[in-house]
Amino acid sequence: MSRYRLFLLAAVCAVLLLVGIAGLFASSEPDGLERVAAEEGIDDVGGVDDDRLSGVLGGGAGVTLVLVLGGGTFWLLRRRDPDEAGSR
Amino acid sequence: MHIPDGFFDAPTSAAAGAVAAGTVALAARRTREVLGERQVPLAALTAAFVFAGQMLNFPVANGTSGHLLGGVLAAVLAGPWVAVLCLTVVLVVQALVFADGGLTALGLNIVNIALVGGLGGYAVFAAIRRLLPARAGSVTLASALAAGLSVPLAAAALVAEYAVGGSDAISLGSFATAMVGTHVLIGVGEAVITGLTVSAVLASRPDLVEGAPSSLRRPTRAVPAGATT
Repeated sequence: MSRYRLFLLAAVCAVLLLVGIAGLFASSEPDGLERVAAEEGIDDVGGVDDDRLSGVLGGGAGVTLVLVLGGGTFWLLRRRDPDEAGSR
Repeated sequence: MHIPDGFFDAPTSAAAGAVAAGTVALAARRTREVLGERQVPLAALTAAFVFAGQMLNFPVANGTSGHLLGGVLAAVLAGPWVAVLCLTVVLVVQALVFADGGLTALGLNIVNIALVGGLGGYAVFAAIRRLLPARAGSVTLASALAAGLSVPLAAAALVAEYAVGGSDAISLGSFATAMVGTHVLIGVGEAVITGLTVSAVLASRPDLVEGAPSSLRRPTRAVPAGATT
């Protein structure tokens, strides 16, 4: 396995670890904007604090979606010059 | 930091949507010029890392939590234009699938988190880095400082937008103080996570850190003299 592939694999592991930690331990307290908005009397906060993405499953699904959508976007936007392949 | 629906009036949301669309279009054009095929998986992984980082709410003072925004982190690792697209993908998935950030506020969230936090934060990073010697430690320090600043900067942008088109008549002075004050604290967490991540990548593959000076980005493998790379 090339060093680059090894690095990508390590990065995938880091992302999965982060999802696991976030899913299990993320604080459920309101975040900075939610908290300040409630204190300052901004009314329309419906749905602000109920729908927080949480849980390992939701996080895993989200990360997968971001990878697919991001991968597709960046694949479409990659630089197209024929002699680029194989560098790095 | 993600603005839900109903916080801002329609004209302000639409104007921010136009600014966001322009920013994303420019980022796509620049990305087309710089992103090599081999860097595609790394760019997508950067987006995934930011998404996972934004899930991780850490507690700050008095019953408030904060999470990574990831703008400076993505920009230092993948370059500022790729970072704008990473953050946009993250924000789109959050708004569409997880109701984190309103769909009508997507433009505002892209402006605050990708444009101000990402591009603005990267400009701060680049300025600080140039003042320091060309060493790995300088890159880490500059990314941590810029990341820390990018959070109150994004919060300040949100307050400025609220002054223009917020939905409720509130005391802007106290809103500004509370927002920036809280996000200075959250910025400390942003600085720590960004510094640790950048230093870890620098230690293993400095050539993959777009924000590092070219002298640090030479391949780490020893190349025999006269070998063609």
